[in-house]
Amino acid sequence: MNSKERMTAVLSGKHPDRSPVSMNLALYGAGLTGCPLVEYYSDPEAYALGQEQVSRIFQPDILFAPFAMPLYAQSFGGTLRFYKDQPPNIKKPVLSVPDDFHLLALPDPDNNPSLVYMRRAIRIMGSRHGNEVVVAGVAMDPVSLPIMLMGLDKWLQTFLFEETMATDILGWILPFFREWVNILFEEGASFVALPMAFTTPAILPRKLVLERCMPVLKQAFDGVKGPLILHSTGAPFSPFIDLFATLPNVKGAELNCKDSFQDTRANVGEQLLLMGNLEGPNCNQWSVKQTREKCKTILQDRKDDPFFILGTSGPDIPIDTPPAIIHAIGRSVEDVNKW
Amino acid sequence: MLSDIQQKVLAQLMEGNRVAVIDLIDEWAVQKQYRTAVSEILEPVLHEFGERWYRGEGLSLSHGYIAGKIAEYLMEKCLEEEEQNDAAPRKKKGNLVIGNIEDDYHSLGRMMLGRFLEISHWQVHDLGNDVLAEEFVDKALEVRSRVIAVSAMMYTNALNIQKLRREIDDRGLGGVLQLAVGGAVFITRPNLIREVGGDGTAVNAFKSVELIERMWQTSTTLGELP
Repeated sequence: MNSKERMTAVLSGKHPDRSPVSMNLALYGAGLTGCPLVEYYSDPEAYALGQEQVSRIFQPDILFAPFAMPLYAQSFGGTLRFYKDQPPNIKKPVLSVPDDFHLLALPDPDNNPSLVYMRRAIRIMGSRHGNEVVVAGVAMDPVSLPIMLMGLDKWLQTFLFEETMATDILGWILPFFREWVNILFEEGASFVALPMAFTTPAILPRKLVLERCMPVLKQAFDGVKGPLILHSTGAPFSPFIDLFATLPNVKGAELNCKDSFQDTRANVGEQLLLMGNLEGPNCNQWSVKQTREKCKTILQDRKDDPFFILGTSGPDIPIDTPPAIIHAIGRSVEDVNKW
Repeated sequence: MLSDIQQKVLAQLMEGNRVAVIDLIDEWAVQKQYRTAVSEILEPVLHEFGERWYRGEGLSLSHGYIAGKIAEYLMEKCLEEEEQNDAAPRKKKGNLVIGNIEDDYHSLGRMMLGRFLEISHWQVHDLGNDVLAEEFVDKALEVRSRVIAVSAMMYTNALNIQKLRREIDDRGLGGVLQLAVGGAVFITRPNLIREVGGDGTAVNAFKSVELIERMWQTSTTLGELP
């Protein structure tokens, strides 16, 4: 099987020849091409060239679209701060007063520069690599998207204490989410990864997720035309995955490095695709030997689980990670039977 | 061991049910007044809550924020009660300056800290987000605050606290003006407090109140503010 066949198999509930490998090398491509990050996160061709190098050197089974959620803040009118070695961050939230969302226009996917950048990057990657490898779109779920507009604290306050306004904001943003995710599929994404930044146990109690978030997510996911894989965003996620597994079009979940595959599998049943859970943002600190040991532990734990993808969890693999570490992750799925 | 009312309040707080907690406190206040609810309900519940948070027992940011909102509600009710009873407000322990460092806009932790400090009878001067080093020190001198509590969520922003450290030291205020640092990044990077020159840190807003009281005491043993 090539990468595409392997990923297509696990996404459609069939057995792959081996575990696919997912590594968040979105940022890493810039290091491989020496591209300044301002350019990398605004020029789709520059991004695609970086991913071309990622694919050539490391052969992951998935190539990711730009993994930089602040681009969504930018698409709504926010400004970004760029760094030398990490994805951009929000310089200042778009909304200082949550109720001012009435004054914002939803971004136009055909003309908004940030959105055009993201969709073109997928299109280029799909046209160059789409026969061999899966291209993943990256979007934000509608309950988390307001974080990009006003910051976590203001959105959390609004959500907790201004329920009517929160409902209005979610109702306003939901059609944009559906339209945007479907555009990513049309551009060539085989699945869309959704960092669930708000609906995690670190932010919300389960009861609020169940009562307030699930109806919105159900309505939003019902209208999308492809598989969704939920992403842990760097925080433990497992305690809520059983809820999300019931949502339309959710085919998988990426676990945090602190989540247990065994516990999660026991809670969600056999069919949901589980990914992870190497600690991606810290892998520049590991030796090759440690990397192999970490992979081995996960692979042995999952050896009888066909719906599993070995991968890094959380945000990007740091740009200064030695290539040998990334190679060690990629090769571990081939080597597992020799260990 | 929590009393029956304390357990009920804690249980509702754990569910994230702010309205139910306020109903319980209102019910209590009909018989015993709001000011007794501070010491007999809120303080013990928040202490237990803080311990659970410290132990990582299934608490979320929402829980902390709801607790802060309940504290704010109770404080307002206490003030109303004092006005109605024509009672003198309880004496404040001192003035404290808090804020998010330059470039940082993550105000949640700072706002929670402010509420818990107020409920602990500190007069809080909250400078808000994106505060420059000299603004912190100017305000601290103006209101005679012996501690500045500065918050940052992101590593890149937290490094701006170094400017505040320099500002304090350049004005010869090291020691008598203590620098408390906090925010999520200080938990994930334990060495960051040394890197930015903080005098102390705590794992959450509840523990921060204890920390700041200790730092205030330390400051008084080291001299007077100019």
